[in-house]
Amino acid sequence: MSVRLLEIENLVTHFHTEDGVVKAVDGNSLYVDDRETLGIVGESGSGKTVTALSAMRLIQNPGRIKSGSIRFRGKELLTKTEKEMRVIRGKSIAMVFQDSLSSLNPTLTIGRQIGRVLKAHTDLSKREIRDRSVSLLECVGIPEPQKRATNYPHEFSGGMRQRALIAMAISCDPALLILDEPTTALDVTIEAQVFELVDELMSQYGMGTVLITHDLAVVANVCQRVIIMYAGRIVEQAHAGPLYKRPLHPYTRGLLQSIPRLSDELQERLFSIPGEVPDLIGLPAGCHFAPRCGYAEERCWHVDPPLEEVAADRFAACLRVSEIDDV
Amino acid sequence: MSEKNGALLDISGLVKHFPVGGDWFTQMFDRRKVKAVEGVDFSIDSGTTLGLVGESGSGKTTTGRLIAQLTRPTSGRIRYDGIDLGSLRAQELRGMRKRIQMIFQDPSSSLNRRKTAGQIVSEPIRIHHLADRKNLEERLVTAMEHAGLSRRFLNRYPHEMSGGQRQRVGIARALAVDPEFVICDEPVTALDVSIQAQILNLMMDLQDEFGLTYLFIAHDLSVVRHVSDRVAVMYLGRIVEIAQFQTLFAHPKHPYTKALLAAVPKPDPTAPKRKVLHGEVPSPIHPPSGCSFHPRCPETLGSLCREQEPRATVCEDATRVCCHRFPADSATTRSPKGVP
Repeated sequence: MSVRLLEIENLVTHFHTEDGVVKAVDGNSLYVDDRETLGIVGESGSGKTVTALSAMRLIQNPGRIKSGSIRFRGKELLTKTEKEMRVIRGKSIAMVFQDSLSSLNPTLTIGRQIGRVLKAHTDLSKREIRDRSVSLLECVGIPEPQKRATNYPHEFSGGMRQRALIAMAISCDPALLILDEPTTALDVTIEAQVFELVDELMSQYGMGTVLITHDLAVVANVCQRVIIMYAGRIVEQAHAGPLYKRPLHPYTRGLLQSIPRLSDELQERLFSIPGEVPDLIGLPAGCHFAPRCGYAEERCWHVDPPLEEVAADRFAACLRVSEIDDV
Repeated sequence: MSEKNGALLDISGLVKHFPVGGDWFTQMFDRRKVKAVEGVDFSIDSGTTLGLVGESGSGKTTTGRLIAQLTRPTSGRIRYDGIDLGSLRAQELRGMRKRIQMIFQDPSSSLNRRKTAGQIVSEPIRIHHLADRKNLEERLVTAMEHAGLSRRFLNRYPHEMSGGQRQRVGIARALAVDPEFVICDEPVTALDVSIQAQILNLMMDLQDEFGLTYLFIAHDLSVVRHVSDRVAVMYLGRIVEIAQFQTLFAHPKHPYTKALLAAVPKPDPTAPKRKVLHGEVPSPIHPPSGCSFHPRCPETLGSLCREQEPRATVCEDATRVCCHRFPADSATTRSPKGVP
């Protein structure tokens, strides 16, 4: 039986900027179980990173979690004090950020930085911390870990820095690991290596993983369940198999069609979704995707489509989903 | 895709080494060199696209910058339309720059943020005296429209535009001088998935309309496959394989090409697990001996690959490959270098 690790309900996170209110996350619900990988897919500005930062309570001014509930192992996180949250961050929920160079401290050696996490969350001795830091580096596949622990971040390649961040994230055996675009800046070969590592660690430690990315191909390789976000809202949620076989929401369909594939027969024009991702300030009522949607009709511009279960374990937020699916 | 009109660009023995140290004083004592490009040969026919792929640090961007004359080669020759670019004087080079244009990877850092889109696109038109004051606006608007930007973008600053629109400004700037040859350095890497397809379609339409020749540099093999007629694979400053796109993707020959193709994730959860190529690209300051790919190669032949540099061979299907598994006739008779 799987254990529910994280459960988010009706989360609303807004940013109050000079230009207006940015509705970065607008009433989303999701869950993550142990031993599963959930993919959150969306383009820039879709709210995928803000969702993860909200779960870690890392939203900073001018952002604010307006309403909703975030429960970790059944316990509400939104009512916890900052001190209590610090114990949870890093120890129970760990996050790896996109840009490995700016998430590492350039003035500390890699070994020291891993050691700091261990010092904050465990009562190991100095010596034990040093040994554990080295064995963590070894565990994420860094050659000569003893020597490498004394290196500074700039002496590491991009792929190695990402490995070091993962080593830091798993240092206290977190129950939930959140990876925010961990491979976006990396080559495909290195990206494949990083996910091979994540896969191994998951089967070894049984943690739940959330992978935030814009790359549908990576998600297909790594995730069991997938959430598609658009302009602050979840538009589709399903298990990976059915989602890729039969996407329901017009946005998901468009995304999948617009990826160039190695198996394409001819160099024809790619399918492309017209228009641009909307500005999150002053979004009008109705479906946010309507201006770019080929299926949009009059009511789509006025009625907010709710995220509804359209089939067993399949959710889509589209008023016309039943009509489109028949086509 | 397009018919052969003879080679527009012909490169042979191109080499570029960068000094490791910063100023001349450091360089006096540190004579190490970053061997960014180590003997590259290829040609591109008029009206076609050559895709150039490789991991970061493989020298693909440096190759592009050498062709655009943004940096001078250490040695080697670049012939464009029969003219040796290295022999040109500054004045003649300026004329050449009108014919060869470049589109950069990151539209936010390659556009001057203090200038409007109109000012950015009109700059090359003014520099090359392609229009007088009266015709300038007309020419400017035409270039913008070709890139899919309407007149209302003329007075917008880069920060007021989305990533896709900014890349369109970069394309308009390149097209404003009616170039023949465009070097596209990772033009869609920084863009969102739904916008990538728009820009790729635009670039293919422009090629058909104006008969442009592209050098398309990218690390995403699926993108390269979609736009290229021929594809060259680079590793540590060398081209390890070059072939027609169908041949390269259906029958890859070099172990590195195979490994790159196997690493591409497929948007299909039922696809078999990807094969992972281990290790990283070695430092171009101290490239490995022999074949520079041998430390990571899953098909290595042992001492031969460690000690001897492979030579290029042309296979029956016109693929040019640089690997000991495809020995050149002359290479087999040569005595191995560096064997004690």
